[in-house]
Amino acid sequence: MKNISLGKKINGLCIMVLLLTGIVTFVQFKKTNDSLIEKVHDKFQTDAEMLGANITTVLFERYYDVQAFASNKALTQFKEKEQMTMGLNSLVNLYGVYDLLMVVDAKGNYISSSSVDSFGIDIDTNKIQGNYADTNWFKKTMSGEFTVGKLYSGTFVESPQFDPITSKAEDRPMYGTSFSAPLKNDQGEIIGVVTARANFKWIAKLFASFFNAVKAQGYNTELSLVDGSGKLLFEYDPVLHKSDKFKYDEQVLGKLNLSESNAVSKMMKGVKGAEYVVHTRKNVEQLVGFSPFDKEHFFESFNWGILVRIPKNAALGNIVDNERNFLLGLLVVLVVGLIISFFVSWIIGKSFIAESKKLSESAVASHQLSKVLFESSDSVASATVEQSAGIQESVSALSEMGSMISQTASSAKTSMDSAQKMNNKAKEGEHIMEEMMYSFRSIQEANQQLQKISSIIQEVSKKTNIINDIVFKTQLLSFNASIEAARAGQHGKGFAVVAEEVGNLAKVSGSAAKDIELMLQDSQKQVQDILSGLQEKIEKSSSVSNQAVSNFKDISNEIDVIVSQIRGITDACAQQELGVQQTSTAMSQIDVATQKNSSTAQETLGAAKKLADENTKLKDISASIFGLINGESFKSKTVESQPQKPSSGAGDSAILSLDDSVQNLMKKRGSRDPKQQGKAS
Amino acid sequence: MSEVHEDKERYLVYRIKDELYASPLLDFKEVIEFIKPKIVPNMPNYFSGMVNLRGLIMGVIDLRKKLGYQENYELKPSMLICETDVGPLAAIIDKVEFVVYFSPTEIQDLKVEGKVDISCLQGFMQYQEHLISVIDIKKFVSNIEKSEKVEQEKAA
Repeated sequence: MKNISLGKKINGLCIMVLLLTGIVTFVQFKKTNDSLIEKVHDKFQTDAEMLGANITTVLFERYYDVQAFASNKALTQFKEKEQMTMGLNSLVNLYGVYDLLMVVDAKGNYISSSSVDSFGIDIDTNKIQGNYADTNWFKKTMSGEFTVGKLYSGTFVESPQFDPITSKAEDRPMYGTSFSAPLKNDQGEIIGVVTARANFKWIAKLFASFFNAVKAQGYNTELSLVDGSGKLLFEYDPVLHKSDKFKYDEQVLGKLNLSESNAVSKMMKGVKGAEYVVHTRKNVEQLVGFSPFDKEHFFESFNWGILVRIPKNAALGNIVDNERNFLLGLLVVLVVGLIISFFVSWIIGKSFIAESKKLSESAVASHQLSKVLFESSDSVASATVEQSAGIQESVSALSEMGSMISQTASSAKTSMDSAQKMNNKAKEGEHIMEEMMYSFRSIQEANQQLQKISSIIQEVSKKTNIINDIVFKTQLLSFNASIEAARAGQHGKGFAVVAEEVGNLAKVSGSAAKDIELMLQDSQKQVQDILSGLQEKIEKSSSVSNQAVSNFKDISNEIDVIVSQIRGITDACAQQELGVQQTSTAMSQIDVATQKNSSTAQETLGAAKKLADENTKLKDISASIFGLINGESFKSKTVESQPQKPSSGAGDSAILSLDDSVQNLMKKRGSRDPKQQGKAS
Repeated sequence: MSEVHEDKERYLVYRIKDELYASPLLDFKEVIEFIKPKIVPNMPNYFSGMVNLRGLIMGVIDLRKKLGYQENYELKPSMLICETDVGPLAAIIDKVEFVVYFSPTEIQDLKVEGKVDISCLQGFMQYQEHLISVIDIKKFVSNIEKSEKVEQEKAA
């Protein structure tokens, strides 16, 4: 079973269900059909029975007719033969079934007979006059061996035959049945026998009417009367004879033995029913409804039976058609069902295969994920251990940090003192520089006074210009005087000398003035140089000192800033100390949490392992589902052919490797556990 | 310098730029300070204009320009008043230096023949380290007058 794929299984199931349904339906149909056939059988059997009953009734009428005739006193008057003939004729006419009524005496001698047959035709009675002592009917009637039933007696009945007596009388074969009853006188002695030769037509009419009744139901039957030895006594078959007329074939009636027929042999044993028998003459399979005559109401010695025969096709035509149609329909339904089942199973199988592939893929993926989870949880566990150690180190580092911070705080305080001192010094420097600035200012004032001197010198210089001018004018005057003296000639000689001297004086004073001017200019220049140099230097030193002052101020400010920063550092140190303490406590809390984490990681690891196991199971399940869908052989084939490919649904190898890795990891963990415990504690 | 120079003439030495010039003292009527002359239009560039000296109107000749020098604005110039045939005239020079006694025989004549008229240049005298050009200022000024007249006539 495992080697069969899901699709085939579904197909097989569908086929089985369809077949079962078909069989059940077929059986049910067959049952119904059988019951229908049974009904047909019953019908024909009942028909046979009914026909037998009708014939029985008619026969009994004839049976008692002859007794009634025998009880007629007129027939005992053997001497009045004509009267007897007339009476018998009137009886024949009255009943219309008898071909001949005949009276014989106790010794078998012909006494009288009717001269008219059942068809109203005159017969030659001379032909039948004679002795009948040797005949069977005479002997039996005389000896009292009547044909008897349970309820009646007194008549000897001959089974149907070609009556030698009537045949003789009419010169043609007459088929009929004879009824004979003893003729008694008043004293009760048997004086003769009355025999009534009934034409067979009165039974044949029953056959005909019955045939028509059955034909009205749609069946063209063949009715036969068979005696106890299987001999055919009468048959009515308009289909075979192609005529409604009754046919009395001497070659057949009373000679054809049907006892070899299954139906007849059964009937002879007193069984009624229906059988399929091949009609030897027609060479057709027929349904034969047969029934022996009712023993209760019929002659004990007679073992008659009725056959109602009909060709099988005619009898079961509808049913056979129905059966054929049904079988055809059933076949069609089966085929369609099979196709649908194949199709559905193919679709389901396809989707199942796809889904199972996906399932197996996702199983593999989840397997790998669980592996990854396992590894990562392992690494988390180891990381938590390392973290724990790290936290311990951090705590110690934190305490070191705390001491360092307090040291820093004390250093900051010292620095602050130094900075304060420095600040004071800087401020002193500033004051000094400011004083220097004041000194510079006084120097500048002196400089301004020097500038005044310079201006005085300039004034003096201007005055020398005036002297120069005077000198110039004096010179001009001296020239003019010289000119005038020259004009004066000899008289002006002395004046010329004066003029000359004046000119010389002017020249000397002019040169003196020039010298003065030069000296003045020189001194002026020197003063200016001094002034400008001094000014420059003063300005320079002033700017330098200003810069120094500002620098000192900056230094002071910077120191202030430094002091404030140091204060900030001190505060920060205090806060840091507090923070370090808090961090320390937090670190211990973290340590606790880390230990907790470690245990959680352990649990996670276990869970990952379990998950891996579950995944392995899932993998197996998916593989077995795949196998279930595709068949075990297919799966194993796939596993052999594609061991590397996890998507082919054969993730066994992957699972194995994963298991190995998980085992290895577990081993590793096991070896590391005590270490970790020691660290954690 | 009170020595007696019997045979010597007196010369007035004056400076134009760096050069010293000398003219006979008696050619000059007067030496005055510079007076800014009133500019007369349409005159040659060395004719500076007219001045009023104590009611006497006279023309002014810039000797510096006439002798081919540039006007020196740094110095305070002087004016030499000369009595010419056509009347007094003022000549602008840079500075009056001194009066010198010099014998006319000591004046070395200029023995140069040329197309340029140097008739008013009497010669050169060596005084101490200076070589002084002696100019006959009257002639010089008269020449100017004449040439001007000729020019004026020519122009007319």
